[in-house]
Amino acid sequence: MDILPALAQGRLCLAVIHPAMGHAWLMEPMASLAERGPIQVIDGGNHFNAYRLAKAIGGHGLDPTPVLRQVFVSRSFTCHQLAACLSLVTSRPLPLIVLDFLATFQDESVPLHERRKLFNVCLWRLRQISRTGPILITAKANTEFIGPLAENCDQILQTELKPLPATLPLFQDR
Amino acid sequence: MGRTIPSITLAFLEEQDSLKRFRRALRKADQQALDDLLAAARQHLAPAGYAAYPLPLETFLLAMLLEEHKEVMRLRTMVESRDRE
Repeated sequence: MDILPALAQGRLCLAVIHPAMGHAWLMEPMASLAERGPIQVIDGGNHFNAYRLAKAIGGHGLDPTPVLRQVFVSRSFTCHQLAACLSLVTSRPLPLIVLDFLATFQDESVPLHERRKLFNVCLWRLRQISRTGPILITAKANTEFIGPLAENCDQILQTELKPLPATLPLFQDR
Repeated sequence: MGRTIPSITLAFLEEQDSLKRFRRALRKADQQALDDLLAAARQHLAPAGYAAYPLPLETFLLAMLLEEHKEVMRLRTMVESRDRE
């Protein structure tokens, strides 16, 4: 899925991911973005894999080390940390990618009213950041808060599970 | 709590998994040789993890070469000692 044309300043772009799908597909566009300049990544579901990103950069014929230096990653393990991460995002016109935005909001040890409040705070902050740079949010389908999140985003992209490639036959039928 | 990069063992398993189709297409004897090479690379996971290079496959390939060179050196020493006798 080509997400780069969808990213634009002032717009919140949401990629709804099939629950069984990982974030490997995102490494290629993330590599392309990092090759152009610095990017910020907030990882809500511990999905960021630097090795895969390095491989994607290497696949473009570039040395991964200087390009990886342009990727600034923050990880959050609770919805409070996610809100704090978003509040600390610099208001520079850099692309921001929020991986698995809703993962930390599924934590039932945090009361629902508090999660809802933090979710609204995060949305407000994202809207504010989007004025300075493009934002891509990824979230798994069929999770709590996906409805309100989708309603607040300007563009929604759906990712689909690709069927496994057919196994090549060892012998051709004649 | 989290890791900046996945553990080197996970990275190794991922690389090993990516070679699955290649391994499957090899002859039985070659499959055994490839398994030996991967086992050799596995012996050096700790230094590979410490190095934390962005492309871990390069480190694994170097670890395979290292073990192969050690074997060459061992055989060379053996041949030389036999020549002396």
